[in-house]
Amino acid sequence: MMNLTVEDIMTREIITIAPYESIKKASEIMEECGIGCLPVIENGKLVGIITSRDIRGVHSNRLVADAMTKTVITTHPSCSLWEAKEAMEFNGIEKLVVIEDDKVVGLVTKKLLYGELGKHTDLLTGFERAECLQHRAVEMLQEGKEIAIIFIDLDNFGAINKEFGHVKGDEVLRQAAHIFRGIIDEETDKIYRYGGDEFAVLSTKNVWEAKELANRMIALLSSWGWPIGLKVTASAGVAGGRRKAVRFNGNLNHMVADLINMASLASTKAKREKVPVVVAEHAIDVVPAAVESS
Amino acid sequence: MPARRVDVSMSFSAFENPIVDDVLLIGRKAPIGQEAMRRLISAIAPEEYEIVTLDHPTFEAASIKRALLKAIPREKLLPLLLGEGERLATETAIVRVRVSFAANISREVEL
Repeated sequence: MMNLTVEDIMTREIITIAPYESIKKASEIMEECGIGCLPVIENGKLVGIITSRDIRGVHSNRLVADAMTKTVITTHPSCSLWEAKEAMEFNGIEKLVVIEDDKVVGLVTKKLLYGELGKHTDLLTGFERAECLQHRAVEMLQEGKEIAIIFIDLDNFGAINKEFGHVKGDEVLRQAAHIFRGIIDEETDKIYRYGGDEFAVLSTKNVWEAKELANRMIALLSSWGWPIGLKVTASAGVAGGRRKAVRFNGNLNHMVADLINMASLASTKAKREKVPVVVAEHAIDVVPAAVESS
Repeated sequence: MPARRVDVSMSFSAFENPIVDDVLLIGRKAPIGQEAMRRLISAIAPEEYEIVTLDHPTFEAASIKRALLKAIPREKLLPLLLGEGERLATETAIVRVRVSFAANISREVEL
């Protein structure tokens, strides 16, 4: 989903109205087309937006210009879905007009956007998926935050599935998610379902605090009161922390992908060496761009 | 057949803008909003009126004759208009106001 932008989901066939049409006409168009808003265009430029809410209780003779919302929150086709969601939530609106080169090229509704974003939430655990981790991590680096990734891989999960069945396996994943959710600090940590039996935590803790959190997560998981005969353990890898620039090439997406990969490899190492947590040895540069340039 | 006569009487006077008058107070839910009024006024009396957007619960805008504003500053005139206007009108109305004033000037001349 990190590559999905507003352009991928926006409605391109936009019905618009001129500012000097009547509210009656705007209302008729909305009703006829089954839509709740009309961008208001004058001389090819967006000058406002009129929604069904705007015209409620307004005299039908009025001009659209006299009832429209003049300050329109717009977005760009290349805006990510998360940025669009944040813009909607921040402004308390349900529609975003998409503008390119001063022209209206599309419209994104809250329903459309949330429907798409919903596809990226794991229904079993309630955690967002890996793509969201990537996006959020890049955002945090852009905000100048230091980040750490904890990559948690359940041990022998395939065996649990084989021995107890996939329904039970799903139950283990759900329970593991519940355990992890209870131990993290929501102020600094966020958990994502990375893959089948893998979770990732994006944290603003430093790497050693992140390691300490990973140790507690692994310990609590293994000591949980699982049904008799069921042994659930996991291994974790941690990567992150602020380092001198060694591999920074200016692309935060690559940087985050490297960081996740290092945490993943560290978890494999932990599994191999039969230790709960391993911290990645060759941490990449995670000095945010803002800090770099200052 | 009796002769018939018709008396014709005429009255001539200068054309005064019959619609806009000195001031119009435009209600928030009036059938004509300020943009419509702006277009109307610019067609019938360009440059003669100023349209002021208001932050007021009853009226969204006022159109005021510029000549009037030369005699009475806007910040003095508007509170008077709005204070009286809101007592008489609702937000669905457009209120026409005729404003007249008299200036009393007294000057002392040294002899």
